[in-house]
Amino acid sequence: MSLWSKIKSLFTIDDYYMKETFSLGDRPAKGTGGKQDKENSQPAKEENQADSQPKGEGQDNPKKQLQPAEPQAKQQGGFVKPKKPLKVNQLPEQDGQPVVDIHSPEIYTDLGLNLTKLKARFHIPPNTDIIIREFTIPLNPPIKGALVFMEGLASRDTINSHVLLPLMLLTNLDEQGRNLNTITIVMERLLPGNQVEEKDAFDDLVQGIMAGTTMILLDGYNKGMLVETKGWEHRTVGRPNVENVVRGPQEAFVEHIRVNTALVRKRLRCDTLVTEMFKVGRLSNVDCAVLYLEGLTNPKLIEEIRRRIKAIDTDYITDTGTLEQFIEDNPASLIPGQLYTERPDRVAAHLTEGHVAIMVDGDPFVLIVPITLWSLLHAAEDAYIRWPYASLLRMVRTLAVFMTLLLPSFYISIVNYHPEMIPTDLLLAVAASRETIPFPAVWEIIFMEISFELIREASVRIPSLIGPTLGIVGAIILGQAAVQANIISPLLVIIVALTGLGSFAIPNYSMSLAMRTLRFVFLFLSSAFGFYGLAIGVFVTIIHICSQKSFGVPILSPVSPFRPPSGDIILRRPVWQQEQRPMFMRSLLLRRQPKITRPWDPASDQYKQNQDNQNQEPNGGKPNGNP
Amino acid sequence: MATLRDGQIGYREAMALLATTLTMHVFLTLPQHYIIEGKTAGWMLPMVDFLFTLGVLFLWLPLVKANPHKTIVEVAEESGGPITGTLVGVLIFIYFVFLTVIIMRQFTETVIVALLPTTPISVISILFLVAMIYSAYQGIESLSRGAWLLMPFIIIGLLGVLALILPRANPVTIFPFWGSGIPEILKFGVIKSFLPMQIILISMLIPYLRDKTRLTTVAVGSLTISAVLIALTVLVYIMVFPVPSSINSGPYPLENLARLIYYGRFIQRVESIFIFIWIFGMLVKASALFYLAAISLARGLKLPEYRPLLFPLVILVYGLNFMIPNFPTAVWLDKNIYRSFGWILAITIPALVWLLYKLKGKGGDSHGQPQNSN
Repeated sequence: MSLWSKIKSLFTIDDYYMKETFSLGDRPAKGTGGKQDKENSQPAKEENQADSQPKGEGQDNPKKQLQPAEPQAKQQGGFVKPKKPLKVNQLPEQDGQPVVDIHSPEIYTDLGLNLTKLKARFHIPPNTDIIIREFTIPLNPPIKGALVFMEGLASRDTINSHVLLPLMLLTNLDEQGRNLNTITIVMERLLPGNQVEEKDAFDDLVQGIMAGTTMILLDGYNKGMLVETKGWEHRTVGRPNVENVVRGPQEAFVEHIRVNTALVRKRLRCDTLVTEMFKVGRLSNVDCAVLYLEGLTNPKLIEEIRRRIKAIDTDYITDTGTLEQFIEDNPASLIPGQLYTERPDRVAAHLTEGHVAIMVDGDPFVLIVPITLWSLLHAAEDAYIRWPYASLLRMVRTLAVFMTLLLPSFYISIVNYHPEMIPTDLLLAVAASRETIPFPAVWEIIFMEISFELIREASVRIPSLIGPTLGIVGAIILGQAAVQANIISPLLVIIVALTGLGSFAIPNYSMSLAMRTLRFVFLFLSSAFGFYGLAIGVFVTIIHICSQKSFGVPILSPVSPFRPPSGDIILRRPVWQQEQRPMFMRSLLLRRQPKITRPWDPASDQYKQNQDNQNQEPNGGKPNGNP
Repeated sequence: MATLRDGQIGYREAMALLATTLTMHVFLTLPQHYIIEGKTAGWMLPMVDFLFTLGVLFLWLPLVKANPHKTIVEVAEESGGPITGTLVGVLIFIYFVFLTVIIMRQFTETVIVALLPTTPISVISILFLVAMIYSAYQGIESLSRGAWLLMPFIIIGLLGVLALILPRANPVTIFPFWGSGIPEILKFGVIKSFLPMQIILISMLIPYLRDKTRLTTVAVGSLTISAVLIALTVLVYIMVFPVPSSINSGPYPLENLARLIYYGRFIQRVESIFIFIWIFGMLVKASALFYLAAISLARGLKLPEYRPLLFPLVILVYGLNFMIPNFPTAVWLDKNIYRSFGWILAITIPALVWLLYKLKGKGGDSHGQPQNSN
């Protein structure tokens, strides 16, 4: 439309005004046919109905969807018998079979019928992801078969060389076992795949196809087979992106759940490591793995996690971030009740302490439950460096939490309400730096905190190509210009910078976000009531945290409620002194190593004890064995 | 009549809660009253109080131990019938509400003087009540854990103030050693005692204690910690402010002490930091008393849950708080009503219940099923 015609159209009334723009209109009525509102297909159907012309009569829609199938069936020639247009939910009587339902669990003996049902189920033809390959197994007599898989999820090479090749070409090599059932022959002699399962239920086959396995149906048998051919694209195991360490393993989880379980199993080569699989999400229908050490982890805890995961009734979950919101104890609380990590070594270490790990296929982060507040301040590296350094690093992180949380509100309280607290010289310095500033200190700090949050948020969202620009902009706004323009005082820049640094030093992102949010609450309280408001806020926060539990474990244990510490709270004991697992986990095995773990060390009294043992029994020079 | 979702508390947490609740009274005007009554021997009064309470406690503990799953209200009800139970519950409720109100009034007045001179007392009270109701709502489990978490800070803070002020202390000022005389000390130590509050606290908290065998440790331990801390504070106060002047040195003895701390340019005027400890401690104390008021009423009226009572009670406390016309009246109520008569109530109620229990001879807790099985 040229400019002139646009202007002209402003002065004329034509059909342009009569046209209706596209809208979804009213919500179409639900399909009324039979068992259409069965869980798996319902949301997808609703969407289909919404796309088609809303006529208000839902009964027509299923019919319409299958009508395009007719020409295609004709194109295929005379191979497949049922060519009549069929209703989606009720196939007409055919070949003496009773009336069938596409959601019925049974597999028919007639291959064509099964394929039709399958096509209806997967909405073929508009749907192109499903590949159906029909073939004949040249046995005596030849058997017609069909192979169905999901394009992109299954590995083509495997299917070609390990499924189709033996079935179509290599069958003649073997003439034995004629008296066996054909399915048994196929499974036992013809399919070289490492995982072949026989299934009786149609839904199992459908689930299998959607998970990337290949389904095989044989004409004349009411059973199907699933051959493991999963082979979708995924990232290779790489370096951690979020939890970097200077020392320690440098590999991280990926989006493939089986790679992830293998990464953990690689570190725990014991037969007690159990991986339980669940399916979550009606539409996403992804695998969710629960890992624990049988005989060590508290069975009540495992049962509770099973119960919570099984109770999830939603359509879409593909990551642990969504999953955790369904299973966490305190949805309203700021403090997270579970830990996520992308490091297999960290998961393995937690499993040995009696925690449970939860993985979701498609997410490189793994949830660890239950946790304590202290573990949110831990980093993987703490275990790999010597204990004095680890203790120092953790003290720095604890300080970081307090700085993030309290520094701005402390500053506001002192400047606004309690200037007598600071020494006179410092007070004069503060007053001098604030002399030219026209705003109250509260506005200054809110302005700075908001700009800081903006820069931080922008730096995460910005495309990495233009990332460096942001640093310059941030440095100029936060550092130089704001001070030179007499909008904020230089002292405040230091406060905000320290606060920001503190929040970056918190190793857990959820915890860091929690502290950043709480900081604004405290800022408000202290700007209204000074130290009094701040103290009230801190007290309520403490009581709140004390009331919080993570999967039955009070989040402040083992400090409050007090339990004998295992030497790994904030300060870290040497690893050879951490003889017991954390008491609050109530794991079945409390002791993780014997009391004497350095029997050779003459400097420790352990050596003496060992010597005494040796003197008493000249043969047994060994220290106390593992319990 | 188990209350719902209240959990259980470990003996350390219980000890921390009780010790904080008892000790925090010293942050109000208590030291001055001790000095008025005992002169230079004012620090001995808490010791006398301690011994007196200890004696009563040991008489009382067997009954509590015999009924480890019941509060005094239920024991009274079983021994003397439902009306007695309700009466005891309501009496204890009045005791705790009165205590909460006078403590809150004194505290909020102090906040005005020390921190927020221009803020209206109603606003300060509302903020205080919000924190109080929140912690009472979360229940005894969270409150005691919070107390255990905060107790090290409170004790270190208190001892820190006392230690930092020592250079200004003059030991000579504790003489004459016996102050107003031994008979006077003994007399005031008993008739103005406030530690017997411990007896009622214990008899209300016992069902929540996880390890009932540690009851004696909890009761005696917390009593000892509080008595020692209070006596030490009064002693240092007398050494820093010699007796005649200490009576008139302003109404907030500990704040006065903190204000005097001076170590060079950077460690001075630390009372603002000290105020954190003070507010935390006071909130623990007030929340515990408020919670106990709610559960004594709930148990007295045989309600299964105390939480619905909290909001009406908070209005009651807020209203009563303003019925006290001014700060001196609040101090007067503390000194002449609570400390003169509170201990009588705290001893006579248990004594009467004890008597009823013995008379009815319903001995043992054989038919008392566990109240908190969770």
